Amino acid sequence: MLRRRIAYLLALLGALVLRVAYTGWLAGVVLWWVLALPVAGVLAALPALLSCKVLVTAPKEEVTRGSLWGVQLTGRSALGLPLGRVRARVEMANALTGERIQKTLTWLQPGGGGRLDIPAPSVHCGLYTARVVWAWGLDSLGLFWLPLRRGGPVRLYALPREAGEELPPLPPEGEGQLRPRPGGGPGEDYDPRPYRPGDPINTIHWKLSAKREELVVRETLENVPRQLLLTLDLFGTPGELDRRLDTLSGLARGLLEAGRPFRLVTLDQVSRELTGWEIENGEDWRACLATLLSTPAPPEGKSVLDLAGLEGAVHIGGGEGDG
Amino acid sequence: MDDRSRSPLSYFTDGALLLGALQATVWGAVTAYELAVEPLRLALTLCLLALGSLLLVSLPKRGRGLTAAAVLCLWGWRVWKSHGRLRWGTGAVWCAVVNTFAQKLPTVQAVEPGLVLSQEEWAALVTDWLIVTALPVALALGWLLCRLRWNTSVMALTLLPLLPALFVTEAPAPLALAGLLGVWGVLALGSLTDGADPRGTARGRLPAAVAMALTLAFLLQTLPTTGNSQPGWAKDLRESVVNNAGRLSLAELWHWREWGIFGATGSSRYVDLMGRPRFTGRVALRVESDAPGSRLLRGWSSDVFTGTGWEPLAGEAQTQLEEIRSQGTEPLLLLGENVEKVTDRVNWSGYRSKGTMTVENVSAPGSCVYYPYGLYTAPEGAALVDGAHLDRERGWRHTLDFCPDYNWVLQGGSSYWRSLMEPDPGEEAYRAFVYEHYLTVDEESRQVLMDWWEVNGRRQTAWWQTDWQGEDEAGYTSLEGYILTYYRDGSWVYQRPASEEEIATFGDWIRMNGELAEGVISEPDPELYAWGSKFLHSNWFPEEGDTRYEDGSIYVWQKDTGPVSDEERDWYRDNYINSVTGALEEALVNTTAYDLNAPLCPEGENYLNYFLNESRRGWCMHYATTTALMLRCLGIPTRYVGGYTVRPTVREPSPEVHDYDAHAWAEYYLDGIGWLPLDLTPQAGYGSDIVQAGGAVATPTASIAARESETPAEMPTGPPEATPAPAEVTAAPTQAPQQGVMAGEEPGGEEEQTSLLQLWPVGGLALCWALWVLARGHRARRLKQPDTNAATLYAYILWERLKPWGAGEGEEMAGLAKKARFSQYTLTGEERRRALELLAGEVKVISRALPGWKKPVFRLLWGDVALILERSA
Repeated sequence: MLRRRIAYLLALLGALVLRVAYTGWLAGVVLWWVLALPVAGVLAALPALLSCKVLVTAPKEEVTRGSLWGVQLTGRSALGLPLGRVRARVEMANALTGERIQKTLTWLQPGGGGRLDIPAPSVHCGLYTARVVWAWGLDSLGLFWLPLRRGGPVRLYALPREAGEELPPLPPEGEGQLRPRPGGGPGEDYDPRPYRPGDPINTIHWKLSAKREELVVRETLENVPRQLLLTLDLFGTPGELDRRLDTLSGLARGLLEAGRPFRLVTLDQVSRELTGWEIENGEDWRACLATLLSTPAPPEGKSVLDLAGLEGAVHIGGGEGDG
Repeated sequence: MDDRSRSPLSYFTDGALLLGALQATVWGAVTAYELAVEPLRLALTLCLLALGSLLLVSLPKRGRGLTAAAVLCLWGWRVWKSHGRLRWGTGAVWCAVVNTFAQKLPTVQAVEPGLVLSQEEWAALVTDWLIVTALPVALALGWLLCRLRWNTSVMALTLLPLLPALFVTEAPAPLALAGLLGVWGVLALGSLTDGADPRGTARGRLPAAVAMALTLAFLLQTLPTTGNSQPGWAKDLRESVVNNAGRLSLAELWHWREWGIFGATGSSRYVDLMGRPRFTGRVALRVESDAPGSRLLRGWSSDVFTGTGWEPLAGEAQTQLEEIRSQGTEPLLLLGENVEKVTDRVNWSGYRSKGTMTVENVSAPGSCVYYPYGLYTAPEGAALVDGAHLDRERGWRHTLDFCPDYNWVLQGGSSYWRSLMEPDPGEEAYRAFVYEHYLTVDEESRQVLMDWWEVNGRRQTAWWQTDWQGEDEAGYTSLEGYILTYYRDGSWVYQRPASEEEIATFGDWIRMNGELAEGVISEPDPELYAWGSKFLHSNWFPEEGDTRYEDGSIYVWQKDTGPVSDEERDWYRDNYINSVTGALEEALVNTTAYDLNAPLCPEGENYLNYFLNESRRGWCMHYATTTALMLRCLGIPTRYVGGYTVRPTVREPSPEVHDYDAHAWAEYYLDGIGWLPLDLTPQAGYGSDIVQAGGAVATPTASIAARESETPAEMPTGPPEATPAPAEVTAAPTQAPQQGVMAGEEPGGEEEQTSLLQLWPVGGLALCWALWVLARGHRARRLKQPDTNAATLYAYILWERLKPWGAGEGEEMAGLAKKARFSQYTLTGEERRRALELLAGEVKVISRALPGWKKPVFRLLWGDVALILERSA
């Protein structure tokens, strides 16, 4: 482009010299023609520029971290008009780790369209968003850069590797906790308690009430199997996050294969509130993983174990991710 | 280019461009050289040639070569078969080309073909010749355009036939030029993608062609497409370059800063009064003359006073003047030309009517020929332009025939001159033009001048009457009983006591419109009234002939005695001018002094007021400006003139004119005669010998129809005693004072300092460049030093300096640097090279990532790193 500009300046200088040296009308026409050439160049390139769109596409939506992947940068004019040069900047950002990579590319775009493959790193887990930050096209004369239309961003999940984690000792499946059954009803186990207004009359334990000289109701209990709880610290370096998510992914697969639904709890590092997911099947797990991968994880944060009420959970955090 | 990459549209656009280029080239040549052709046959054949060329270059490779060979063989056979006919066609074309040159270059003679044929036959011959010649051109264009896609070569090939015509400023027809520019434009607009994507380029050429067509249509509609239309800035630049470029010498180069465009003394249409002339002592002109005597060599004149300088008349006035000149009036040469016409009827009495002067321009500016007054005709190599100056057309040495003693003829005055001449029909229109444009003075300057004139210029005699001063009066002067009154509208009145005889025969000097009767006569003839034919002063008439003017009417009791004659009018006017200039000169001598070191007019001050009332010192430019403007105020058309003074003598007939001989004076217009010089610059200490040299110019004023103290031999009829005394102070053409300057003194030391100070930006830039070069050299030396550890450490330091630009952490570089710094290990050359590679790579990455203006700055500062790496390989 610099050469083109120099060439144009030389042509303009030549036209000026001709204007000075040549007294006839021809020199005036030539000078104005040279001055008008850049305008004509922009006008001639307008159909191509207005009809061209630069967008980024991803051939896959999910990859496993560490594997090769990439995005494609495509530019095409709907009218099939070429552009001498197109320059675009593509940005790929990892929502989980905050990693950001920018690449600027320049290419000649033929009328049939052009495509560039941009290899992207997927070292770490996370949700990668690739977008075209800006795109410019040269006019026909090669003097000016003019803006081009851009497509929207594309998303790609870099999934954790499923680490072959041994499942921790799990409580027997049947074992659980007796808890009051909502709505009452028949049952083998029950627990007396004082009457509360609103309790059904047929739940009153008359014998016990007479003995205690106060109304006592019989609350039916049911056996609620104990839910497996996994906690995850979603902060740390990208490497730590990868290891934790690998562990979590392995555990999740194992538990689901064992038919043991579980609950995953993390601490939102911004709002400091617990966030939980009930994972009962693969679909739940994929949704949960998608959310995890798209949540920004700071390098340092507060562990979820610092909150009470999570005793007995399988914790994935710290240096090695052991609970 | 691969045929597979071409589409039908590619063929179409290539063919259209090929056709356009071929047609534009051929028709451009036809119109530029004015070739007679058969247009329809030529145009159709060119279409066929373009199509044939396109088909040929579109053939597959093997077939293409064979077919091209066959076509060329056929062409060669055709040329051989009809070589006789083609020979005549060649001759006709050659004659046309030579005649095109002959029209523009006088040294080239026009030629004609040896054969006598009719116009149609010649047209057929030329057409055949063009067709035969166009075939190889079409093949070449097709190959370059469609196959090789060498756009620059296509442009060069299409321009080649037109170059000879352009060289002599002969242009092709506008449409042919538009076609050529259109083709070039489309090629240029598609050149970015042409090689890589011919199909897409073919599509892209469609909007490019539309854009080019619209642009060219607009240009041809709005710009002139005939004649010369060079703007003023280009003309001035060209003249300056032409004037100075051909005379380069070492001596002149030494004085380059006072040279050429920037401030050379001499003559110019654009005069800056606010600066001081600078002299170098160089020779401006070489003059040889067989007519000794001081002469003014006239260069450019300027017409409009701007307050700080002079400039020529604006475009509309120039157009008006051209129209008047087209009627055949050449007012400036009236002096010499008219002298030529009347020379047999003039008693020369020992005065000279013929003289020759050769003027060689050595380094005088202005691109004009400096000539003496009384020129008979424009010399060879020069032409009268604008009715004012001689434009140098070619050569630097011109021989001029002039009338050395033209003043002798003017002594009789305008009326005498008129009596010898036949009226010039164009003179009336030119006179009206002069009076329209050369009496203009801005109000502020007019006020200054008239106030000054009021005190210093008017003379008072016992005859001066005060009781009838009107608002329209500009001023008046009296000479021994004669009162000359001038009016702001340009009219003037000459009043004197009327004799009884006059009263009886000339009465009121006005030819009355309408019936004359005793009592009130109204509506006098405005023309004669404007020329001073009225008597306003009733006190001078005897009671019987009382005449008075009141409220636009003239009261007479006497019968009409006839109109004022032209002789009377001219005589009175001559006397008026004589009187006015004499008074002006006396006033200037009494109130001002010549001084080349006079202070410059401060910014914001009125130039005339500062000269006349404050500094009271000046040089020729001050006096010329004052003279021109003062006379304008007093109703005499005047203008500012620049040039040189020369004094060839019998002993030294070929004096050199130096730049310090540059001079400025005024010219005033005399009806029926033309522009005459008037130089009122005081002589700056020289005696009157300068005036007496040769004798011929020892006139009361340099150019006025002088009346010596004795009555001139040839006097028009007029009042027997109406001979005004000549001006008391003689005004002679004054040489530019040489006293101080000839001693080599150059005034204005502050200008020297200013010139040196103006060089500081250049010095600053040079210093920055030197520092930049030194810094880069230092960096290269440190990176390539024998001590690899130190070189690696320095590379690391540079890496750290890159961090503000966005450099990364550089772990590998840091590792190498630590190794170099803290370990006992001496790094190898490979490791040092690795450090350099890392550094160069980072520079490259940063350079690519930087936006906009930062990139070239970064490249300027860090671009040498990659070079160091390459050179160390």
